[in-house]
Amino acid sequence: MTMVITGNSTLQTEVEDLCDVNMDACIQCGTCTGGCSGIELMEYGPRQIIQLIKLNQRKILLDSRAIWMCVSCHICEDRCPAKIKTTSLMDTLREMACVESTTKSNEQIQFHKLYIKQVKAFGRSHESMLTMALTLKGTPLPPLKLMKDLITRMRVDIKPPHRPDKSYRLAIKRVEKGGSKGHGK
Amino acid sequence: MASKTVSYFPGCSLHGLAKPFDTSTRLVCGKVGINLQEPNDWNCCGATSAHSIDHSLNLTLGARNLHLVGKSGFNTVTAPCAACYSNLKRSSLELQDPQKRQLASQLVGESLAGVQAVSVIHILELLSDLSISKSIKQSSKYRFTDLKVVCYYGCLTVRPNSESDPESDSSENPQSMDNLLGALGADVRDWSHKSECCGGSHSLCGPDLANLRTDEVLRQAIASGADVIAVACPLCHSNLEFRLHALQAKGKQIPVVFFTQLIGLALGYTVKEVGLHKMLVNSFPWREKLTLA
Repeated sequence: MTMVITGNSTLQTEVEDLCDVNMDACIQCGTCTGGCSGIELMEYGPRQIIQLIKLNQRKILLDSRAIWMCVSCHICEDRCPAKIKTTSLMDTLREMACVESTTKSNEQIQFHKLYIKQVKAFGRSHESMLTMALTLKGTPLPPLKLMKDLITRMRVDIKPPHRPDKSYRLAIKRVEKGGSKGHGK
Repeated sequence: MASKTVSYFPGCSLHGLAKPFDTSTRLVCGKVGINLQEPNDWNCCGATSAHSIDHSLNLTLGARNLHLVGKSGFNTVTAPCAACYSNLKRSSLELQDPQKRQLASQLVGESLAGVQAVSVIHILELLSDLSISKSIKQSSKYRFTDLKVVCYYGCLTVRPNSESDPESDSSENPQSMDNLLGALGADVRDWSHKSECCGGSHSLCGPDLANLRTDEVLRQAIASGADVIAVACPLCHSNLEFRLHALQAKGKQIPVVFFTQLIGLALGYTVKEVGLHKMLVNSFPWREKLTLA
């Protein structure tokens, strides 16, 4: 069956509005996929992801493993001859997936949520506390020998977490009230 | 030597595992007359979690940091962490848009007038400034002799690359670290993986992918004949170091050090002062590689 695409897909318009990316500029050259740092573990590379957006394949994309295997290295975007901001595009797809995907949790979502929880509370991340929080959620502890070597070399942060100013706490409250408005330039 | 003060965004890692990057950066800057001043109450830059799944939060974190820099009277901020540098730069590009600025201003709760004028540079860019790099060379006490180095920039030290800034380093074949260490006598090797990604953002939440990337970087660095890998990113550093640690019994070990630690040695600081004794692979004969300049 031949698929005929007329005009922009609903998904394309929605994603383009959220992240200011013009996907019509894509010439499907595959330079993005050629340099992709997560490609071995993706079922669709970035070139295919753009095509799937144009084909309005919402569920396939938002449930995909590929969007979570992007490591945000910017190499695709940096090399794109059509100057498509693929990194922002991937961020947007992940944010949409968090709201509507049937994949409600995976290692990456769980990590990001814990990290964000900590940043909201302390203003900064705290490596040792983050490692403990991850362990409580079932991530295996780092190897004992590694922990021992880091402790004896005084590389582990044992200071209490940062206490942010009131201005920070108020900003976080506003973010939590307002919800997200998509990725920009 | 004229001294100047620069706004300095250490980021969370430099308060933790990458403390030696912070210590050595401060020593090197101090020696060439640069005072580093942290913005009061800076917050996380938003990488990687906030920009991955919560854009409003990322915009707020970035805008607040840039606002704090501007408020303390600076129009440039330097970050040693590549993830902080890259994400703050992304925020700064985003805030050029008046609509985004307005949204960010509501969220941060401050007028962000002037925030778009704050530019973000990596510590490599600061130290590569002509007068500063000259001053490093002039202040050096030692030169490296027969020290083969590969400079590993990683993906985010050089990205996003501003087309608007012709001075910025190449993202495919960066030179700034090579030039700095080469000027101090190091035998800097050309190699394939200078600005490839180490998979660092997945090191805590998808080690399979991170291991694929780090193994490739380590293999190429070792194949180039290097004695040491010099890095400019705390995530590259811990990711490569932890992988070497896991492979201790099987693979060839190679020290992974911050480029500022090497500069510090040449400036006359001791192995302990620059924190090389804290590295996981630390049995390297540093003193034998230094001769009086």
